[in-house]
Order: sequence, then C-alpha cells, then structure tokens
Amino acid sequence: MKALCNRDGLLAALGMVSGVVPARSPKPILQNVKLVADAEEGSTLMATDLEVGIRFRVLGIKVDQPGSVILPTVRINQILRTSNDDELAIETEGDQLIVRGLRSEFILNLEDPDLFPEVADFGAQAYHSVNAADLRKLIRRTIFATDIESTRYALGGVLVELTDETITMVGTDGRRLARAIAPAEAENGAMSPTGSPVIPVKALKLIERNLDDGELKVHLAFQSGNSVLVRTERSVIYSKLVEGRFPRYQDVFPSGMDVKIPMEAGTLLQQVEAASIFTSEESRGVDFNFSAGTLTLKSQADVGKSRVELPIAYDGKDVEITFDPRYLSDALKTLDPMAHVTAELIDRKNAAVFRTDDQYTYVVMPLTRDR
Amino acid sequence: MPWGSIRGHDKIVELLRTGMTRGRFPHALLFVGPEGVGKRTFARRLAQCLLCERNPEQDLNPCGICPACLQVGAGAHPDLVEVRRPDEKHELPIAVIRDLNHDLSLKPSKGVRKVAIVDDADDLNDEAANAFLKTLEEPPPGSVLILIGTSAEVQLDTIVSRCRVVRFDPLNEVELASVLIEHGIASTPEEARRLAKLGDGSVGRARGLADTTLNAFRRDLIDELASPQSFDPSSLARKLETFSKEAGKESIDQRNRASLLIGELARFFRAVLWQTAGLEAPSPDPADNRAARLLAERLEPEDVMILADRCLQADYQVGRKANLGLIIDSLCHDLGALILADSAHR
Repeated sequence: MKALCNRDGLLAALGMVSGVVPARSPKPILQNVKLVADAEEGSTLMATDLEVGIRFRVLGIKVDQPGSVILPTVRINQILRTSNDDELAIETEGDQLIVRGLRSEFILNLEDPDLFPEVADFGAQAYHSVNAADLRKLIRRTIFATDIESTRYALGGVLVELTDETITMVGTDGRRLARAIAPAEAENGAMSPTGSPVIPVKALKLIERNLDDGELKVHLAFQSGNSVLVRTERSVIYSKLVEGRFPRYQDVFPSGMDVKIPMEAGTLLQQVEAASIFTSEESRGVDFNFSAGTLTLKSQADVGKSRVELPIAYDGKDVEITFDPRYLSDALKTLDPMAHVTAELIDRKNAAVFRTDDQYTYVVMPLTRDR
Repeated sequence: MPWGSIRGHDKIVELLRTGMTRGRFPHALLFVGPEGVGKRTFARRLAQCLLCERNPEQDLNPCGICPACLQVGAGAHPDLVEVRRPDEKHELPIAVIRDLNHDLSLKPSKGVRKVAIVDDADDLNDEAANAFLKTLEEPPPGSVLILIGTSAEVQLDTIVSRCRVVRFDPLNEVELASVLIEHGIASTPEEARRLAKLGDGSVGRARGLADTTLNAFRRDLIDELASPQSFDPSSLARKLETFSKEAGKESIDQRNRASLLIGELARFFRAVLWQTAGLEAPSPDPADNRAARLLAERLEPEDVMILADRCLQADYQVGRKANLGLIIDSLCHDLGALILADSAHR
C-alpha cells in the first residue's frame, strides 16, 4: 500500500474510532486500527473490540497503491499529533510500514491486515431511516436512565422499537424510565425487528458522537436479533445486542392522573438544583409541594436546609411528593430550557410522569420518607 | 480433532453425552482433578462440540475442520470467552470476572450460544467468586460456563452448588507415557515410562520432573537425607530455597518447583515406609530404592509416617501461598529433628 494522507483528516478519523479500541485485551491485535486505502470506494479506518465496531470514512487520502495496513493506535496517534506536516505518506515496504513526513520518518513493524477481525459493513437493502438530529436527541434523552451495573442485562442498554412511521427508544434502571419517540421511515419494505432489541450503552455513545444536528438521514438495520448496524454520513457502526428480556415498560405508565402542572424545563431545573444543595447520601430527597400558584421545594441535611419557590400555573389540590433531585435533573438537562414540561401526579406514593410536547415521557418513582 | 486425542476421560464424555441427549446438559460445569490431566484441553474440546457449525451438538462430536472448530482451537472464536488468573497474580481478581459477566451479557455473534471457560478457578478470590454467583446461577439462554480447578473443596459452597461437578481421574501410566512421547516431553519409551511413574497421572507433573537440573537436585536431596552422616537442616533448607528461587522471577514458578520437590520427598518417604515393611517400593529409580533401604534401617515406621505426612502438609501450605522461605525452613527443621533423633537413638 502507498498513500498520501492529510494529517488533520486522519487525526479526526482516529479520534473517532479510537474510542472503540480496548485499553487491554487478551487479543493484542484489537489494540490497533486498520486503514483500508482505496481510491474508488474511499478510504476507511476501522476499529473493533468484538463487541462494538466502527468503519469511518477518512477524507483527504490520495491513494497511489490501494491496500490495507494495521496501525498501532497509540503510536500513530502520537506521530500524527507531534508532526507539523500537512500531509504524511504511509507506505509498506517489505516487512516494514513507513510513515514519512517532510523531515521525519517512522518505521514500524508490518502486521498482516488479514489478522484483524472483520468489522461488519452495512449490507442491508431494507432498513429504517431516521433524522440524525432526532436519533441523537433520542439517545441523549434515554441513555442516562440505564443501569450498566445491573445483573438484569437488558437494563444495560436502550430498547429500540421501529415501525413504519416511528422509532421509540426506552431506557430504564428500574426506578425511572425514559421513553422518546421520533418519526422514522421504513425503506425498501423494512420489517420491524423481531424480539426486543436492546443496544448497549457503549455503542449508543459511539453512535451519538457520530451524529450531527443536520437533516441528514441515518440508517438502522437489525441482523437476526443479534446485532445492529447504523450507517451515518461518514461511518458504519456495528454493535452486538444485549441479552435478556427488556421489562414490559408499557405497564409502567400510571393511569388516572388527575393533577397536571405545566412548567418550563429550564426554570424547573434551576430550582431543583438549588434545592438539592442541602442533600446528602443519607437524605437524598427533595420534597416537592405543589399548591395553588406555587411549587415549594424543600431539602434538609445535617449541614443545613433549603427552601425554594417557583410560581406555577396550577390551582388544584395540594400534592406533596419526594424525589431524588438527580433523577429529575438528569432528564431536564436533556431538554431545551424553554421547553414545556407537564408534571402529572396522583399522590406521593405513585409514580410521577413528566411529558414534553415532542413525545418525550419520563416516569420517576418517588422516594418514601419517614416524617 | 476428535475426542480420541484426549486420553483417559471417555467416561466423562459418555456422561455428558447422555446428559445432552436427554436435554439435561448443565449450564455450569466445575471440572476438578489433579493438575495436568487434560481438563483444559477437554474444556476446549467441549467448547468445540457446543459451537461446531457442522455436527449437531447432541453428538458431542466436533468436526474439527469447520471455521468455528478451528477458531475455538486457536482461541479466537468470538463466542468463546476464556479467562484465567493473570500471570503475575496469585488470585483471579474480581475485575476479570466483571469483564466476563459483561461479555456474557451480550448476544452471541455467530451461533446461538456463548461458552465461557474459567481457568484457575481455584484462585478465585472471595469477591470474584461472589461477583460470579448471579451469572453462574442463571447465565443467558444457551450459555455454558466451564470452571476448571483441582478440587471442589477450595471453592465456596455457593459456587459448587451452582455447578455440576465433573471429576477427572489421574491418567494411568500407559496413557500418560504415550501422551508424554506425543508432546515431546520424553524422547524414549524408557524415559516416558520413568516420568509416567513419577508423574502420578499428571502430564503437568511429569513435565516438571522432566527438567534435568531438577532431577539432579532431587537425586542430591534424597541422597543427602539418606546418607549415614548427619546433615544440617538449615543448610538443607537454604539449598532448597535457593534452588526453588532459581525457577524464575515470578513467585508462582518458584512455588511450582518447591511443590514438585516436596512432593518428591513425600514419595520418597512412602518408599521408605514400604522398605520398613520389607517391601520394595514400585519406584522407577533404583537409586531411590537404595536410599530408601538405608533410611528404613534407621527409622521407626511411625516416624516415617510422620515424615511423609509433614511433607504433604508443607505441600498444602505452598498451595495456600504461605511464605515459601518459612515453609521450607520449618519443613527441613522437622525432617532433621526426626531423622537425626531416630538415627542417634539406634
């Protein structure tokens, strides 16, 4: 192989794929990335830890002789960072790999590129497509509610449901549940995936980093209930799915909510954070007292107490309920500060539901408190 | 690779096959038996059976040539997870088990199941064992977990109760001798027979004893103990310790060598015991028998029993990671006290 690479382009690509490279692994080959230089198809940089894999299109590579090479992630990153050339030549010569700048030359051992595990490519003809910005929003609004430490494997990821018109993502850790819905389209007669596919958190973070806010479409395809492939503008991401059965989340949404209180996300977040200043590991709760015209937040810890008020458009009966403030702020942080949030309550023993105008639903279990 | 190349464990294959055809194949197996009888090789072969792409799993008969079988053989199958104690550690730490749990939490990439092999299960520390319980009790559907250790007794009860314990017997001498030749550990049939006798059914032990420097040291050690002149226990201890430390930088290598030698001492005292009863011990080494005869003339059978027992105790302590220097010191001191006192008495 012989190619002239734009340093910034390669560095950007390496930054994107190196997150997948495992820090330690029983299979040393995985600590490398693989560069495939091809003038016609475009050059690709790939990395995998066998759980998640990514193929990322590298820009600014002029290919003299097509081919592929294994690049040691850490070293190549150092070479790219310390160099001040605009372009670096990468070529193989005998059993050596040579990276050459204007006034520098690095010689590395050449490894057989075929030893690198195959990183799956997006081959599906039938798939679902979603706006990049929407998918990104869905991931952000659900990923924080998962529990990767749980022995219930399915809670370590986000459930994805696809129909001809919508994509629904659900994350839960058993104490709270976030569901976000966005429009989707089935292309070429794509069927809804079988079973309940759960994408692990690690892969979701990677996907999110590869999405930008444009109107561009992202393609999703599930393979035989075992893995998912996501194609964005410049990358293809592969991930194994999580084992286990996702809880029947539909049963979690309470019914018979008679108290509905409209609020603004940014203001509520600010007051929740103010009220949570005096909370500790032992007394995590913040008491929410909804009364006509005012929401009063109170918290108490050994070191002091706080009381914050917030005017609300509400004139029904008083409701008192205690929440872990982190659970609320986790969700509120993902919303636009000006967004409308409606809190729906029954009483202080039942789950509370927060809804936005754009099909985001967040269910939180209240804390019990000795009074 | 058919089962044929794994010797001496046909009964276990039959047992597992019966379980499989009746649909009662256990999801967690604990392989126990002496070091070096082929448990690891057996576990890999079993993994091939379970992951083979050609032959149905009910047959427990891997084809050995499909990509899955080859990948398992090379340790590269994506659905086979193998973990073991890190080389520089004495314990199998919790981080390894947590990673394993995580690996098992994802769907298999090729087939319908994952197979996990946990080697050095004897060295699971309590935290790691406890972190494993939940997964061991209820692994993802289809998964099979294989733990490899020497004895079920060193495991937590909670681990044992979650596994089907499979006992591996020591190999018999004929089988062991042919394995030794196959692996190139012994070059001649005579050498193989000698090592097979010494190996106590364990390929690992025979391999250790095939070391010529170790063999020479063993000879000196036994002759010194048996020599009519009295020996100095503390210089003997020093020699033994220095020689153990020469095995390598890692304490695990040093312990292995010490354990081999102490085991040989125990075997020697057993031979002495035979001699006190007027019998020739079935030892492959005539020099051993000569030395045993010399000692038998000087010692009471009761004391020989104690000596052999003391060696076994020291070997156990080596396994339990007590301070090596102390073990050797106190062993040599006790041996000296008994042998020299008895000799003086006569």
